[in-house]
Amino acid sequence: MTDEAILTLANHPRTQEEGFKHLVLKYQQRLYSLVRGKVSSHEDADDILQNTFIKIFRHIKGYEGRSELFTWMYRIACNEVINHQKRFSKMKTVDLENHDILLADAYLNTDNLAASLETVVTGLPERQQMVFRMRYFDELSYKQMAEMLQLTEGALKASFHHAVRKIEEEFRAKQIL
Amino acid sequence: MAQEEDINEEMKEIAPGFPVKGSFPPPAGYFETFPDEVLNRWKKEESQPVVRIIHWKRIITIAAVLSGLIIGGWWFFANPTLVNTNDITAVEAYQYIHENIDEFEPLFETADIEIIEGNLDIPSEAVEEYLIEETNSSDPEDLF
Repeated sequence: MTDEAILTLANHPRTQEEGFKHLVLKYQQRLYSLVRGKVSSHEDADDILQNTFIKIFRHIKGYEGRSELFTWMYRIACNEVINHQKRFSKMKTVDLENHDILLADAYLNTDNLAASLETVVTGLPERQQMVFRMRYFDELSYKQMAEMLQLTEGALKASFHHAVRKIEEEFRAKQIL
Repeated sequence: MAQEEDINEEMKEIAPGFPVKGSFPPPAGYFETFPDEVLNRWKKEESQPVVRIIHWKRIITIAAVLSGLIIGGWWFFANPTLVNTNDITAVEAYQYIHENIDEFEPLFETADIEIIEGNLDIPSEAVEEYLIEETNSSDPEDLF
């Protein structure tokens, strides 16, 4: 089902529930994988994903279609992850530097590789770092990134490729690859 | 997902040796039950009355500011002498002092003047000189 069709259903009181269901069915896996990559357990990811969809339901009437629907939902999901991390850091004293490595670790499943990747990525120029994280970790398409960052897809591709090459070089120098 | 959008495919093309991202499959059947779970939660939350969280700190701050404004306003308006002092002309002020001179009497305590005079260390020649100047060179004795 297209986003337009889902939105039409979701914005009508009589078909709202059906619209929401289609929305969840269409995007749950993608948003789950985005959120799961940023937290350390399935339970946390489930909690964040539920909160994300509840927020989406509540605010869908305010969606103006200026960006892709997924891009709009991505922002909500990212905010929910940040809120969760704030609550998490209030509940437990977390070493934030190690927390970043934990997140990368969740992606790569190897302690050293994850730590090295995080270190190298952190050392990249700001734009390359952001583009790499959005593309590699969050799996956003170049089109979505272009919408969010107000840059051309070509420029984003170039940034991402530069970032990957730099990481590769660093890894080779450290004999990680 | 289109091939150009798949990050793993893109990584294979541009950096074949790059570590392949792991995936996090949720528990089996999670995506089958999730839509109903989230919809049920939404329906439940929507049917419940909105519970407003009381922020005590905010309430106390607002109350303190309001009390300050009320007390300040009352004090300001209860003291008419403080109102419109800038609009009084010198003539009106003089007239007021003249008509209410009794109220200013405490300011002219003779005892105070005597004390001030006692502390003055001005030679009598200087006083005479001053009086001559002030009276256009006439003899100061004539003044008394």
